Amino acid sequence: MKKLLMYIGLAILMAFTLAPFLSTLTTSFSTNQDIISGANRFFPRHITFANFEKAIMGQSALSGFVSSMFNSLTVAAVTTFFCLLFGALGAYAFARLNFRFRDSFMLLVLITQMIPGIAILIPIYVIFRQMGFLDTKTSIMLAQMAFNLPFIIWIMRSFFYSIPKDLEEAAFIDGLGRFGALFRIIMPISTPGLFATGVFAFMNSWNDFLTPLVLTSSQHAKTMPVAINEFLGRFTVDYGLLAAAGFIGIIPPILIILFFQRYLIEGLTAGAVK
Amino acid sequence: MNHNTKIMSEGRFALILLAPTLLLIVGLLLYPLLYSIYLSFVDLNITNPAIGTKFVGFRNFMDNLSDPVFWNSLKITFNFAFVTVIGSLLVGLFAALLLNNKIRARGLFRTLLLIPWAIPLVIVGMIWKLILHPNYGSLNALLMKAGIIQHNIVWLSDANWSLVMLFISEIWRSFPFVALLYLAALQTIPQDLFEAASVDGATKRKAFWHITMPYLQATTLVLLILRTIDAFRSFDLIFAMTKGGPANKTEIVGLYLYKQGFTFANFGGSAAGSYIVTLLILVLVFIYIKLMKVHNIS
Repeated sequence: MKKLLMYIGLAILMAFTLAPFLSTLTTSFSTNQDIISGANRFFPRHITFANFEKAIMGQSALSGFVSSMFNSLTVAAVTTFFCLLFGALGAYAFARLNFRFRDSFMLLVLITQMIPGIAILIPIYVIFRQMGFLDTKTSIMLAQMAFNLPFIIWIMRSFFYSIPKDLEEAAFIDGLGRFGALFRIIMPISTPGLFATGVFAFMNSWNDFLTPLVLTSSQHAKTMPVAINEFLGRFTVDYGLLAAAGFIGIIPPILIILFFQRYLIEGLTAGAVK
Repeated sequence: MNHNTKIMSEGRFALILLAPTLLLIVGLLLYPLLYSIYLSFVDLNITNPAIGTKFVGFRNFMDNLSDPVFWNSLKITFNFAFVTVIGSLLVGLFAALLLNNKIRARGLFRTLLLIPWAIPLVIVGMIWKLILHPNYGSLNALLMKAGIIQHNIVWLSDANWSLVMLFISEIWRSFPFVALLYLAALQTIPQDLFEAASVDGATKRKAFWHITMPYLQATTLVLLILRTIDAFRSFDLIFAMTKGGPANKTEIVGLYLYKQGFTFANFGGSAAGSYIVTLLILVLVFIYIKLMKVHNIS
């Protein structure tokens, strides 16, 4: 009886979690006629791959989708790389070295986590506008880096704490300088931590909407969420095509969940609990 | 010992390591925030540069505070935060308690649970917009089939339903995070506490209220803080689903500020408004932290 109730609860929970996906997945595999006539509402009657094909081939109805995917990949890859590089250097300093203002860092992390994105993007927009820097991928990357780095450093610190201090001292005795100790000894054994943070940084960048929405205006720099939002706002929408594009857009996060779930949860809980 | 290599002082090394981060944070975080103070006291006339920038004192703040649309957006934000924070905590706790049982394929369920949380909010919005479509959406189709409704409901254009649907979709995408943290907390409870309780003749229900719940208190407060901040900052989902409509019924404060800036080119007003909102969030977090101190949770 107890077991039965539990499984009923689990079924309800999973239905709530998955039904929206299944419904959208059905739409993405449906022909337009079936979507409009309602024949395909729950399970696809005629399965078609045409929507995915059209989305990938950059059909006119979805023009800009493919370039937006490339922009998203570029922005997320570069942002992740620099967040990891600068973040690792910074986190090491916070975990190991004594310097002034070290303790006020917590305040900075809290502030960046608390202010609404729009509060920082309004002035950034005005500044970049005056510099003629708008509508570039670099502007998105820089803004994302500045906004994510404090938190990234916050997460990474905990990974450096877990490395014994003797290692650096041994490296100094062996004649390595501070840089040598950091890059030859500490960084290589911190790879799992770096990886966890990298996954986290990639997701943050991939999912970010407000920054590219504010800073971009053309296909040159628009990222996937901005493109999807635009398709969503049109009056005549090809729903099958839209659903297919949406599913292509969530492939990276889904892959991360499937393969790097452990890292993701590690990064997430490290940030939330400590 | 080899003293050929001189070890750099800690302060200097820290400065080198932090230089790129400092540069980015000062240039793109602190400077914009200070610049935004300046913005909030001027009229930028961005669309008509010939007029030039004019100092207007506190007018931008006054304009916001006397704008009923601003107050309306704050009210909606509070409602949105209240319902979705409590909703996501309850659903998340329910999910965590379920998944804390010995179930087959628990790992798989946990993985599936993560998906709504890990995808872009705009796509969450797209998914729900498709489901809620009055003519082609599956919600109307389902309710029709079940005989609950006779006519299609225009969920997102209806003054009452639109907000309810935003609540549901926000809870849908945010409860997995809550569940994950609760699940982690549940797994730290020593099992012998339950064994001792059952030896003493305590019922399952009693054990839940006297053992499980106290253990979850710290997590609950952390979640309250994080989720409240999240709710006050939310933008993407609502922008994708309703853009604040119908008739500003779903215009939360993030959207109001965005429109002030990018629809009406009133950057001063938008900057002033975002300071008001940031202050509000700070006050809320301060209250939560005070609460934590009162309850001796750190």
